[in-house]
Amino acid sequence: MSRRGSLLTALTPLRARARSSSRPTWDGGRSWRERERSEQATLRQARGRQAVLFLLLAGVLAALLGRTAYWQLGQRVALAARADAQHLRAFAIRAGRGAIYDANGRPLAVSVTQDSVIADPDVIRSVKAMDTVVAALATLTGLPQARVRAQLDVPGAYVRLRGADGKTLLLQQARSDGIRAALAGGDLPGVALIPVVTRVYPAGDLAAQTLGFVSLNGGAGQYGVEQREQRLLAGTPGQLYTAVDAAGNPLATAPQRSTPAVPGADLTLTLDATVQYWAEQGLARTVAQTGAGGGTVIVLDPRSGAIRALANVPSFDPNAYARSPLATLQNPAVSAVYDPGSLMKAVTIASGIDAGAVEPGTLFDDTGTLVAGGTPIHNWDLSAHGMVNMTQVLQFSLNTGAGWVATQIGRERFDRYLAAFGFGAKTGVDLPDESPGIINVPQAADEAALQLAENGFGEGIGVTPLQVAAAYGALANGGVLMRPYVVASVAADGGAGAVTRTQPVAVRQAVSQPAARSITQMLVSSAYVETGMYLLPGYSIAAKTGTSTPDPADPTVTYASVAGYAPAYDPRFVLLVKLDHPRTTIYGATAAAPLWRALAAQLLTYYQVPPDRTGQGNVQTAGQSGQDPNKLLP
Amino acid sequence: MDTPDPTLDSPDGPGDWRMRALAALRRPLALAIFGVAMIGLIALLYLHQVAALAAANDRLATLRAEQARLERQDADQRARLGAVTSPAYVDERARALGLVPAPLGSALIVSINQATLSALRDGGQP
Repeated sequence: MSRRGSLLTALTPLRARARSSSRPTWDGGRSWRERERSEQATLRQARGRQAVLFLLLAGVLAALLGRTAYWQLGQRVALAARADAQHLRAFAIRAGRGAIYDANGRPLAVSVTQDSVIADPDVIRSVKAMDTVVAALATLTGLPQARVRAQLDVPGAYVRLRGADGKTLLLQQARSDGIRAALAGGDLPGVALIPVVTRVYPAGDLAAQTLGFVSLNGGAGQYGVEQREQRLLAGTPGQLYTAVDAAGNPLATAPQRSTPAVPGADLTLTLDATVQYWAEQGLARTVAQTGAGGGTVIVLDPRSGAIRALANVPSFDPNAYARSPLATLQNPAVSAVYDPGSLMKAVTIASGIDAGAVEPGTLFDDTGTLVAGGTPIHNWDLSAHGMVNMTQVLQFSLNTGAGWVATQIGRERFDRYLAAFGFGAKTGVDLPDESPGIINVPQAADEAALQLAENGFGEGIGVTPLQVAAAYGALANGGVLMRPYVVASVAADGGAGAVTRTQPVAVRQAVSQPAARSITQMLVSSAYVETGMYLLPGYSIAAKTGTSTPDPADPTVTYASVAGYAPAYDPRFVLLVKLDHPRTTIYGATAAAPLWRALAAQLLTYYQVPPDRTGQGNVQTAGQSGQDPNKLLP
Repeated sequence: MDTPDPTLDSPDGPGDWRMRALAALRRPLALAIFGVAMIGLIALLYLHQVAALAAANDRLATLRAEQARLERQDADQRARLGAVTSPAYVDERARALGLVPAPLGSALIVSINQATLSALRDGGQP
């Protein structure tokens, strides 16, 4: 029925009344026409009221429709977001931190998840279960009942159970399983397990300064590889979006959308734990025997630049780094700068040969004094050796001879050679906090001349132990300087993904191959004559001792060091031993050389390097220095 | 008077049951019963789906817990492996067993070619 029809129906009584009243009556003399007009007016008024009512209803409906459209269309996105915010939550999915292995796959750093026990004493008391909970926890954790009770039976609503050592109790897997079963059975009201991720260094303090550690707050790597490769090791956390109940717990039946976590990459280092251990143990004993303040040992593969061992004393235990002095956390092998002393003479003479300034047979008249910039320079033993060739300059470790070679090269060219060997710039090793060293060139001509001569024998120049090892690596590697590195490969996705191997990087040709060959022969020759202490039967050794005196006022305060490589003509390793301020004996040849020899012998055996020489010159008895080299190693 | 529908009157006629069902559905009571039955069926299906989802979620949670437990175990084992293969541990255990380090130079390393090696392996003279 149409709207008009319904209105007519509604008006029917009025029409009927009008029709009935339109009939002529005798009620007061009014004609039926007047009545007709009156009723027509009433009808019009009714229709008007109906129209107003209709318009009002239509207006209200239109307003409702408009408002609905506003909320449903205009505010849809904002309202949906507000609704999602109320009942959807994003939960972070932790990405496991990658492990670190040595070159032979032995774990050096692993992240372990263990449970800790938390309890709410108020809840336990409210259900009157203190005795049973204490007894059960004591059994399940292995702690004495008295210790558990002392921690649980206290006022408050939160307790984290601590072990006998006072630290947070971290449960082994079996104990965790036991407590979890008890919790599922409802036997431990007011108790819960909270997982705690800890970084474990299974080998203790082995290679601590190379590895670094992971801080408790946020688990960021600090120092060493942990810091340098933080991005790779940490991985990418995932996220889980799901509806939650009023308490914020995820609803199992709700639709879920998740981004999986990507575990951190596993790193394999170039370090060999065995070589590292020998280096650390030997260095610790030598430091103790010589009364040194500390020291560094570096073992490097000259062909690739791979670092096989990087040991420092003092060191620290990354499992308990908070108890270690701040200074021990740094890696002095890459960050500490020192005067290399006579170790630099090999670099100076190699540069002189490469520059054509000298040859191995070039003669130098050693009067015991070399005047540079008006300042006399003396030999370490204050002696004069007369006419000597360049090999003898190395053999007798003549300051005068090396200073003279530097002056023959000239400041500008010598600086270029220093830069070519990597001095004055970072080596680019993949470890943090590396120092570039210090090379100062005074403006005054006299001072510059003195500085040049002093630089020639390793004074007045600041280098890091790693720079020295890398420079000797260049001499061993046909003059090619390799970039040192410690990360051999990266296995993405917690070891399950693609493996990226580090490719050795040749930085530059520091000196020509003939020059490198010449200096190797000279070092081999001088090594026999200089002390003979680090000679090994059957092997050709290219090595040089160094003793620098950082404090002119006290010449007994020294850096004693030895750098060299073996076998000299097919080197398997470069070995640097450096002692800081040894006291019982202060020279490189007496303080550092015994350890150098002991380690070199171990390495040659370990790498199964067959002897490359025969003859009397190779015969060397152990303990020539008065120390039994065997006792320097574990 | 209306003429009776021959298909409705004939019990053997084609579409007889269908027509009767349609006719029955035109009655309010039958319609109500049918509606309730359909709603019940749909509710049953929904509950079944929810139960299946809950069971799957429970299974998923169990598997995730097992995965987490295995991952923990794996990490524990790797840490243990790292400890027992560390040179310090091996050194300590070796000394405890009475072993001592070999003196320097006690090992003689010789280089031999493949033919010599094969001859030695065969028990003959190189």
